Amino acid sequence: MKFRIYVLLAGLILATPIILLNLSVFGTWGSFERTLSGTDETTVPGGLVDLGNSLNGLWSDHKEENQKAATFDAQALTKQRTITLTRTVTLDDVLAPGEARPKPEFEGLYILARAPAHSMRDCPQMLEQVAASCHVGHTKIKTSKAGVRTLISTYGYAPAYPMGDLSAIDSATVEVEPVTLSRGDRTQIYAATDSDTVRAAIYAEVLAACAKLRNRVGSCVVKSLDISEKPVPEDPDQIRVSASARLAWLKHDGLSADVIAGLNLDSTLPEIASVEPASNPGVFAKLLSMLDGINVGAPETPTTSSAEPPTVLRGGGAFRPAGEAVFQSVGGG
Amino acid sequence: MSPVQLFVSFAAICAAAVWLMFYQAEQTELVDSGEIDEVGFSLGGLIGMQSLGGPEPQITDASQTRQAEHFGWAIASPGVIDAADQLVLIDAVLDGYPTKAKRPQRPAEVVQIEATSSCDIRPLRAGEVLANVLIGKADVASDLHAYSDAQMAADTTYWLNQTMLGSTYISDADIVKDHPMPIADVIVTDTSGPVYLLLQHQSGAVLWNIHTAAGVQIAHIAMLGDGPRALSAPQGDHSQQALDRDAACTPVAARQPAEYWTMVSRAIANDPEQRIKAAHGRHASYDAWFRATFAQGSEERVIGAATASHLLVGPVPGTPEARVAYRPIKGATVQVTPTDHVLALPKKQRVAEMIQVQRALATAAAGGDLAMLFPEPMHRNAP
Repeated sequence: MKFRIYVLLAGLILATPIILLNLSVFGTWGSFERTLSGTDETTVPGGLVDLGNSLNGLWSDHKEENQKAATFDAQALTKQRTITLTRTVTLDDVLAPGEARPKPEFEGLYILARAPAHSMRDCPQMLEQVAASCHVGHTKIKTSKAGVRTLISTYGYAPAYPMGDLSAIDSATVEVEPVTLSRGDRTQIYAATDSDTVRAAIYAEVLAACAKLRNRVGSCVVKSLDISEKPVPEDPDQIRVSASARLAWLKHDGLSADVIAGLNLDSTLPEIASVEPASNPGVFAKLLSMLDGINVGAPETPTTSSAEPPTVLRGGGAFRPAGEAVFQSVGGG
Repeated sequence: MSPVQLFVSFAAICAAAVWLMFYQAEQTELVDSGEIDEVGFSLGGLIGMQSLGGPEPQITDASQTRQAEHFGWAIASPGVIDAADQLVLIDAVLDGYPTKAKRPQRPAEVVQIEATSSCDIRPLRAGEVLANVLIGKADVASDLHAYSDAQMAADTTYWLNQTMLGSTYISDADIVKDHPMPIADVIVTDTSGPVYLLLQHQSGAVLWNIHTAAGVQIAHIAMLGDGPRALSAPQGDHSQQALDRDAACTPVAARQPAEYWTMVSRAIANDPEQRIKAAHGRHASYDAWFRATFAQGSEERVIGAATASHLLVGPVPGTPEARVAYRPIKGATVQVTPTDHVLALPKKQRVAEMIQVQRALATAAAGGDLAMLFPEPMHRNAP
């Protein structure tokens, strides 16, 4: 008898992940079916669908809370707050002075393996202007047909600028919006040797925009800043610089309606587009709404911005979720 | 049934499925090779795509081994193809071909042979019979591993990328991959004259294993192509050449496109990317070279297919007793063209050696320390 109980227990433990996975799929599939048919009917019993949906909801709420917490965490180095630099890299850039060149077969490998350490060279400037801490979260090398290698480095950073007084805020939603920068249109060309100066100007511009927003709504974080320096094909000594950024701020009950409405009047800041739907309509519904503009399972959010489509916070590409190895742990994740 | 009972039964079924999945994967590995240490993971077992256990179906009809591919036929082992594109099973031609459980085979000794330029190819002499063997690739793996620095760099790059992403699916041992040389068995039964064996392959590496019937006289063996090539041939007074293709003298070997190539059969009404046209062009220049070198068309009595592992030069033996004795790779001395890395070692030893070499490469690439893949954060007021 005892043996049977052990077998049962072992079976339960082994099967738990599969059961959870099944429930999650039931939930997702059920909501998909409901969306398609417009009725409440599903092939799977409705109770299982609801159970699966609440499971999915719990999981995504948990993730979302972590991400929100990470965005405004003063110390965390996460993918929720990043600076991305895109520029060319050559073997000579990564070789130590006097170091022998590897066999041609190994050149790409050397550049790839040294990209993180090489990327650290851009940290001091960030520390000087924007960041209290700088961490290379992810590097990627792209090689063009002509053999030009582009290094894309994404840094996690802790802000050195004030994020605003957050102590009085009990609960809030994180609003994220693109900000228009003077180098947003990819038309600015500079001498390659001036890249530091140009970056310094971009950092300053983003910080100024963030300070302006903070003065208005009480909080601001530079959620992401992308700077791209691409060589001009006709003249390799020149670079084409473009920059884009997104700012995050906390929307809470303490803000009066006219402060928020007044944001639209600020010329340097585009109008606010709400980013996250209020509820979690599930993965399929999200995909659908992204593909077709159909908003599923959540009330239609009025989108007034015409500059850029709403940004989806979740995803994360090459990053692992906040709270795992590449970046430091945040928000209990 | 109460809900609790229902739940428990469901859990038990799931557990059984998980167990079967692992058990079945283990069983499959044991059949495939005696030397594989890992236990694979088969999703097919979970969703019931594979039959559970049991031996693989026995092939009794040689035509079952053939299917159309992009660049022509793919002939799976145990199918043997001859100069007339006729198929027979290997047991009809060779005596003692190893069962799947006895593969892959590892040679006892590997010696390097110098390769010369294809410009030096020895001409066909009067009275010699040309055996024109041309395959795309072979697909029966040996346990001889040969690969270039470029391939090693690609393996290490994959590992580095996954490691830097912090992938859960990469382990330290994943820095190496297997590079088994596929074996192409060439069975010679042609006794009509001294045989000039021209052995060509189009992609990857190949280990040519030559089996000769009684009375066969081999005059010359020429291995022509790109990439690592190996040869195991019976003792004899034949001459041999390992020829690296020199584009100045020898165009890339190419078969004449035919209706059954899926490249041709699936191109509906047109060839927008001009691939078929390009394939015809490659064949035309190869054929011109072939005619100038051997005074016959390249498609004339050519033996091979896009994928083929057993090739018959001459007639099928008339009786089971007349079959050609199989010369195993296991225990043989094999000649290999100069290749950056050639390993014929038991798996554990081979993997250990490869890991050592590739780790050293990765470490040097990272600048002397793999920890530099993950630099520490920098702080404003660093102490």
